[in-house]
Amino acid sequence: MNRLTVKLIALLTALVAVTTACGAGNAGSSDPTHLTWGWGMPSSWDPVASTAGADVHSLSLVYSGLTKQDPDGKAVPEAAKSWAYNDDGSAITFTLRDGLKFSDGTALDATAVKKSLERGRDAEYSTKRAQLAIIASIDVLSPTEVRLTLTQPDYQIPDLLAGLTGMIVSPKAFESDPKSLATKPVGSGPFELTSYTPGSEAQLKKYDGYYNAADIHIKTLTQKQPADDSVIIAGLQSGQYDIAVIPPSQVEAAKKAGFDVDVNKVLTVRTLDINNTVAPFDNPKVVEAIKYALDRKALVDKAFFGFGDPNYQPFPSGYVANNPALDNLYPHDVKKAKSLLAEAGYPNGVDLTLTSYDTGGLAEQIVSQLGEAGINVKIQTLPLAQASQQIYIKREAPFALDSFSGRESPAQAMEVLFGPEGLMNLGRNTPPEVVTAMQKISTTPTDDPSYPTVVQDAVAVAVKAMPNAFLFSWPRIFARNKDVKGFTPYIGAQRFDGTKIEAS
Amino acid sequence: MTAAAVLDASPKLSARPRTLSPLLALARGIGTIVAVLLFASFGTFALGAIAGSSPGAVALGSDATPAAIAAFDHNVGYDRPMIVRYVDWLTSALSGDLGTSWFSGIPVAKSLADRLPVSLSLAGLALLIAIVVGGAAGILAGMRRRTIVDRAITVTSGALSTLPPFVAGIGLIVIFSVGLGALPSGGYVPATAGFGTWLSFLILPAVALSLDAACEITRQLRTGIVSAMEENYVTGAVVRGLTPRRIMFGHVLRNAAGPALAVVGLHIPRLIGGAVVTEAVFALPGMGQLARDSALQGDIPVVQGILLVVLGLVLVSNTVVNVLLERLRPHAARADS
Repeated sequence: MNRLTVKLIALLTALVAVTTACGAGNAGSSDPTHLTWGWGMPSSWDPVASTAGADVHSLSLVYSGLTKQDPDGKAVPEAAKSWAYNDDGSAITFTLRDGLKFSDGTALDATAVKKSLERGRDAEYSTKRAQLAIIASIDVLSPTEVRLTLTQPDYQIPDLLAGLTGMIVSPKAFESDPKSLATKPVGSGPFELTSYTPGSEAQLKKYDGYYNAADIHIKTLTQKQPADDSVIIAGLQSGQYDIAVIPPSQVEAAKKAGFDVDVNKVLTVRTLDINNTVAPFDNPKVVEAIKYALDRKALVDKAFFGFGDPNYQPFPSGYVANNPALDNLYPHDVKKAKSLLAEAGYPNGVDLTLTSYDTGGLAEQIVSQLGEAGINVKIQTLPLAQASQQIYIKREAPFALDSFSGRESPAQAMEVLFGPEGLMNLGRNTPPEVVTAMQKISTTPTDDPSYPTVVQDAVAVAVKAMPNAFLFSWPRIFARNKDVKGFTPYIGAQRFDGTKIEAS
Repeated sequence: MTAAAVLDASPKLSARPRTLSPLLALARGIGTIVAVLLFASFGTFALGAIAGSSPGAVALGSDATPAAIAAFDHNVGYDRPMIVRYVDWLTSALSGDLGTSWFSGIPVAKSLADRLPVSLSLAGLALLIAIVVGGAAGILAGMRRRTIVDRAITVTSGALSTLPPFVAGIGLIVIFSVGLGALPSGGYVPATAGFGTWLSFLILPAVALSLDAACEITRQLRTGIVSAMEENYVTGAVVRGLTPRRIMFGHVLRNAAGPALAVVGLHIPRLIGGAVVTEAVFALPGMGQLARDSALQGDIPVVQGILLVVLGLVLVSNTVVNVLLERLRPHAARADS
């Protein structure tokens, strides 16, 4: 017996030793042309079927759009080298770069653009139908010129097409087998996918046919599912990632471990969706009381370790649509909240139910803050899929803790939040002045000097008239190995143009 | 009355060939598998329908209008009565077609084929570690009962069993990945990339996952051995001059292993389907993660597919354990002696 035990222990020790020896070569990558990026896998590699806004980061690796967002969120040329509107803004002609090809070797020409956009607009399974419904017809004027005729004047098209909505997919791929695109994308972006394990990792290699290939210095890229928050820094330390998205709770640990940390402003904002056609929210004073009762700074400090900016509007500071005049629209004022509540006919407080899919403690903090003003809130927590059904589709949750990830076009973002059919406009009732202000955004050319003022004015009109309560802008935080140089944080889809790995 | 009880009650039956009892256990196991599979798959189907999940709602995302969702659901035949859809699914499933994920559009069978090797590798290795280490420690503690060795093993296993896998996982990562830089902190590569590499990605999560089962096997085996050693037949064997080794492996272990084996059976479901947290800590693309994500997304075909596979695995492994337990029964061995 003893001999057997000794044998077993010896075997196990040998096993561990062999494993350790084999593993040593895997930990850490010193290849200066390879980058491992810790970022979640997309819901689909097909932009038309993608259901998650965050997919834009992965899909931007493999697809080009006619336009893309620059680091500040402005639409700039990508596959199209230029564009021009007709006189009344009801049609836009894009001129493509010469000689572009998809990674399957077929030409990215005006016909491909037409077919690709038409699939996004018309396919029954498309998640982009609503966004592309503005396009009435698409005409191929020449192999490099394509004209989009719109159902109404809209100068936001270059912005609209700068994300998932405008990514150009090889017609050869979707005409033969559209389902295969979920795991085998065919685009013309900086990289092409060489292998993909859902839920785990995607291997990509540089695509030399990308128009800006000269500025892509990474030859191979691994996009790797980040591990649990608690061990993400350990993953960076052991060389599993060169750069990874980390939660606010890990920022200190990342800095202590010697990593560079980028806290980037992005278009994500936490919100409370409110249906103001349902009692007691149909009384504007109740909604206002909620807005004054919230201590946004405390929410950011407690739930997000101070990373985030208290906000009263949907756009972060520095973005074209951010209106600085709204910076302290509803200061934390419990007294005022109580008196508003009393004026609304609830001197002894009011009982509400908050629907939430957030399990990070934010809902509980909100409940405690509102409680101080006499707003007694019960929390109903649902899984994400069920919550979106309940909140957006059935509209049975009149008060919900939500998050808005922004859109490439400010007009489109406002449409979702405030528009008469807007997903997050739970009451589906938009006052005429908001509709007018929003229409003015679409009918003002984005290069017109008045454009920033027009957008910011519309934001001011909307956030004062609409019930949505904005809480804080949510940053995207990257921890980065010091050898990763030339990395530029983007407000929208993250890109790696110009990024290099150089030993410091 | 169970087959085992029949065997106990009737001396005549116990004279039958020794293969009968395991066969009966096997037949009973297969019967249970079919019944449970039908019941559970229908249950999942019904729960999905009650939760309001539908292909259109999942595939078209949150931007979709109710009209677009209804049109999508109609086109894929989701507006038919639930029982019709269930029979449809069952017929396809029997022919190996488990449908397509509503969320990602990836065929369910393909997702399962991708994930199953990961889960089986993890669970298999964890089970192996639990049996080898837990078994060895249990035997050692039982043999050296009431000595310092026994106390040390009992205390250590008691302490380790209180460690949840994620705590153990984080500890192992800190020591072996960050401290020693010896093993990767997460991810997975298939065995085709090389046995050593495959093992290097699996060993830490497997150890973390095995702790609970290993400790329980140790405790059960120790208790079983200690009480078996006090039986008269052991004294008899000693008097007959049998070597301690033969007494232990020929007689004592056979009697003492039952509860430990039952523990193994109980732990298999936890190791396969319950590895969600371990998979999250080590970023392993296993069935646990897929099950969690799909359930959160309301992706019923995937949940259904996972249920089918996990249930199948659990029932098969339980059947194997039952057969082994029957095989271990001392009178089963005596029957042919």
